[in-house]
Amino acid sequence: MVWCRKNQSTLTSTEKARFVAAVLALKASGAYDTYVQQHMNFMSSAHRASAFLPWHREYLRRFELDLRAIDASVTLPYWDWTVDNSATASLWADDFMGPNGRPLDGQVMTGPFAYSGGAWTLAFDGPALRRRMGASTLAPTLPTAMDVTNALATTPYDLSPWSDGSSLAGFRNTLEGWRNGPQLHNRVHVWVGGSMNPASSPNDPVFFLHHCFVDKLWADWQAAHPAEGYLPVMGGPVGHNLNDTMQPWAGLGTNVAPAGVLDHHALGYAYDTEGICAPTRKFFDDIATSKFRDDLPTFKFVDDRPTLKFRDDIATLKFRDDGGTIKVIDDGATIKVVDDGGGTMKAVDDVKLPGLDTGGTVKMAMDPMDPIRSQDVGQGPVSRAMPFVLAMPHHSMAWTSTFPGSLEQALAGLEQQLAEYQVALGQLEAAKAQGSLGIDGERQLEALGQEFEAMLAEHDQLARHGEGG
Amino acid sequence: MPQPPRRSSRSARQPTGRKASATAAEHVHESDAKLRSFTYRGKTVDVHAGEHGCCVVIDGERVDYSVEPDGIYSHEMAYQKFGSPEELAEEVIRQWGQAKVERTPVPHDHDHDHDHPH
Repeated sequence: MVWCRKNQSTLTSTEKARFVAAVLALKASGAYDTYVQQHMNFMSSAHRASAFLPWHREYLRRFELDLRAIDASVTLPYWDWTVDNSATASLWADDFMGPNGRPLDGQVMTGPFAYSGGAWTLAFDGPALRRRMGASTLAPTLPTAMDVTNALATTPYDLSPWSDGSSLAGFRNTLEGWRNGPQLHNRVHVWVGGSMNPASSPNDPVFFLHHCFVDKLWADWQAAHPAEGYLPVMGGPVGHNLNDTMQPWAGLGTNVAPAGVLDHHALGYAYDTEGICAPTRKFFDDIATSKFRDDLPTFKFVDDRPTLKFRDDIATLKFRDDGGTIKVIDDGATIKVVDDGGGTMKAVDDVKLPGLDTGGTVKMAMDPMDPIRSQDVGQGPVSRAMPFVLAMPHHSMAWTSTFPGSLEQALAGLEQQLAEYQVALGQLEAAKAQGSLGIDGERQLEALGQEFEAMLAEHDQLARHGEGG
Repeated sequence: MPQPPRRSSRSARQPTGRKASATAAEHVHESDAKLRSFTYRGKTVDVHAGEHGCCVVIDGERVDYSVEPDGIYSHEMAYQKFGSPEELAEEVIRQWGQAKVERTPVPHDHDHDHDHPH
């Protein structure tokens, strides 16, 4: 099981608040400043050579584990500085990282990490957090997407003499930013400026969001170049070869070598752009409609916590008769009933749902069940408060009497789906009882419950219709 | 862009975190010659140079640097290189603005030695 690191721009206000609270708690405990000191003490070990990326991967992982010990819902967010590339990005709002520093001395004056707030006094190079965004003539702008693309195309991982030469090609030196620098990683430090300049740069919490993105880029590069391994395997500076132990962890009794951190999934995390995370973000985001399908074998419920996914998109309402003669399909905002003749009958009704659309047109083509309405094609916007089937039972259920047996088939399918919902709800309830559900899981449980209730109502209505009610 | 430094040697890299204090200038090694002094944005800068680098002292606060093949490097401005110690000092002053430069010395990184691969 892995947890997923998200783009900071996608965090909810609650997720931001919980991340900030965990960071502040770590600071209050004194542990945060230990991280700052480690970065200072091992500045040379961790930079300007091959182990730059492995060292920071381990460093961030430990930091993230400490945050998760405070709040298990927290993961380290990343800052994609190619997109959120200005001082006005939401990243710098007072509910998250806080703003640029004041002109006088660069001191950050508001937000959770302002010295004046009392919770963020720097133990090193302080006392106040400082920022000078874009003030350096060497880095007036942040790196671009093209810079990243070019870096990701660079191989091999590193080149002798495994250092920081301005002309030294290789992925590590390019990403670290010494090649014609300051670029990429280095450029971001310089662009933020202030407290991000010295070896004590983790004083600024945005350090961790920045390095999280650097780590993601390394992971992206690894995925793009599976045949390219870490270099040097041997013969490089002490602490930078594949199996060399890295400080300070070796001194603390834990042998961590670059070889041990190459697989970030094995370390327990993934990024939201990876398949292991990405599909889960599609969980029921629209409960305005339900879906009836007679291809029930395709209905899948997958709980691959911490992500959860229903692969059956019940945001869509579909009545589907695979007898090949009729289709009533609601694909979300649109319900279609089309009769294209030739023995195949389809109904298309572009009913727009309030809240999803600002209006739409009703199109009925050759609808044998409502020849009058079938002439209303393009007659103007129609607004309905409910999904088509619920709002227009006289229409949507007409087919059930036209095609005997179809109602029973729909009911049977619906009942099977309801049963699967009950299983899913039971699993979520059990996870909740065990305290392992998390915030996302709570939301999913709530949404799923609502879906279940809506589907149950559909079922009851269909059943009443079958009974002639 | 950084200009070629006066000295250029791979073996020039050295720890740049010696003790800083209000009397930091007194701790500059005798062999580290004071090259010049100047004032920038109201702050007094003394530039010292040794065989492999040394320090700039800004209103009494010492900022160490090393001379490397493609520029001046300092843990105070750890993610870029400069063409000269003077450029380093000026950027440090711009970053701190009107606040007094108060930096914490970076400890020696004992386990690291780029010049002795195994």
